[in-house]
Amino acid sequence: MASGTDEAYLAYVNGRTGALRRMAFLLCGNEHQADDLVQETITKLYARWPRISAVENLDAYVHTMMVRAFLDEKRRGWWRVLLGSPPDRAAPVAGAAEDRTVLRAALAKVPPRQQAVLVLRFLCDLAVSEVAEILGCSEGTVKSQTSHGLTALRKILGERVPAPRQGGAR
Amino acid sequence: MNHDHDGTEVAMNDEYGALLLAPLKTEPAGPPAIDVRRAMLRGARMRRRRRWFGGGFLAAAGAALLTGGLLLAPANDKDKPPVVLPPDPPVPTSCTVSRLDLGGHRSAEMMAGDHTGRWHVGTADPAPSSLNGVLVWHDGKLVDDVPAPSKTAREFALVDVNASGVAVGAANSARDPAYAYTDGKLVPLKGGTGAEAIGINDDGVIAGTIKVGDRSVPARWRSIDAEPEELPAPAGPGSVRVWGISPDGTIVGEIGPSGYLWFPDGSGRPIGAPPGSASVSGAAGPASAAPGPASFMPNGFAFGWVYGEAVNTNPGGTYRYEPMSETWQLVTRETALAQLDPGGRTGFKSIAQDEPAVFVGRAVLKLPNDPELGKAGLGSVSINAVSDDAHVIGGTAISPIADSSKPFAPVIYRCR
Repeated sequence: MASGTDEAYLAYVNGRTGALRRMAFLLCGNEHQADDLVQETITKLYARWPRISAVENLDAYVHTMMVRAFLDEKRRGWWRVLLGSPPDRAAPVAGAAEDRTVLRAALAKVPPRQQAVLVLRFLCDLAVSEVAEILGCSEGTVKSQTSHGLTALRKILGERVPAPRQGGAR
Repeated sequence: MNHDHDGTEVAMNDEYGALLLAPLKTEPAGPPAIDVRRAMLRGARMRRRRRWFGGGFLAAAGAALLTGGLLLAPANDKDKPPVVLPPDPPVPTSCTVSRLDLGGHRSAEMMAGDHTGRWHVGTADPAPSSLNGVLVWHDGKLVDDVPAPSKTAREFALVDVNASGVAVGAANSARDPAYAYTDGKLVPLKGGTGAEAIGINDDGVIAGTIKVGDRSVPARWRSIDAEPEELPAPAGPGSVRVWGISPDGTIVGEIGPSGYLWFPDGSGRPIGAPPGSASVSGAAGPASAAPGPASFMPNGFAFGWVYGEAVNTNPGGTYRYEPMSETWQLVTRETALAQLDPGGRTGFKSIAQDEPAVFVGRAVLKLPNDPELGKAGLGSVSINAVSDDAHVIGGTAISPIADSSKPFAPVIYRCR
């Protein structure tokens, strides 16, 4: 439970900016857009802050706001900018950078909700139950979206990646 | 990493997904460009986006003679005749406060009042993600209690009402259209889902945003059953927001970091920054600093002016801007001095005030505290409606520490 004062808001935002920015960056793959996502999220959070004490799991609530903002922006057409723009900065290893660019472009073509599920589960390391809470859906839906998202990603990447194997070696 | 227990396929997906996406698991490298101060300023007005306007230009000019002389705009241009500025109403000397009927609801939040002070609209039992209804009061009496307009219309709120008692609003939902309240019902506005209605004037003209393709664009409805018209907005990055509409149909909003005006003829222009504003490199943001050019973030119309905050300027302050004469006036450099209707306050020190005060023009009207509200733990007040003559002021008493066991209590101040 959080108190609805400005001090509590500042304390919360200052304490979470790094983590929120990381989640936003993993969602969209671009620093500038990640900062825009965080900015939009903390703006909406402030708009709701006086009644925030009614929220039981504030982190999950804020993550939900961010994912919704991400999905909204996807609908508005961010991904076109994203796919048309160069990667943020030169990576030390050209091969790895190329992999990332190709993978990010492929991920951006997966349906937005499935993208969000894949990022939250495999890049943010959230449990199925946590992703279900953030997206406001059942755990079964998260699992099916994971499966569909991975299938879509594999189809887009084609020959570049192996098909999944039973047991999945790491 | 999460491992599920309902089948090898799920476990396989977990391993495969982690392996496949691993190359993307990187950290943002550059410095953050997040401005907490701007988030608070914008967040505050997102809570109470609405219009408010005192009088109208010609009526106001006449009233100036009664209230102590003409106010002249600075003669910046020798070819332009002096302009009569809208006068401010006299500041009342005494006010009383009373609680409004909630019609059996535990809690309600005042959202807006019309310029005559006779109509007020609010949200019943407001809560994050709630499917709440709305309340309508006329002359301080509850006259309507309407449920949410759809099963998806979460956090629905009416955010403006005109002198005929017609109100507009929207839900926090991409699946709903904007709505108008008329004849006791919430009716969808044309223009599709994802639209937001922000303001309505006495002519019934509505300002807001609609979705065109995948973008939100500023829009105007000439009546509650009209198709929306898209208003021009310069291309570029940054979101579009609409904050209010004046009696003559001028619409104020924001495109990216700049205030923007749309006129009744459909043309538009940026507002610019208050004169003498020097840009600062590194605004005071607690989490980070996001430097940018000097600009003006409007709240909306009040007393014939656009009120708002200077951003990225040194010194900063609350200013008001008269669109016809392009006149700027400093309201105050103090923060947390008084609240602005529509939807703002000076600076960003508090969401509500323990000793509430509002601006009447550029003067501050201190409002009385209700001891009963204080005893009930609702000692902080957020103002959301001030009538043209400043005789009727509407707000919400809330817990100063946002104790969720405490309700919101809508209140009306009557001043003379």
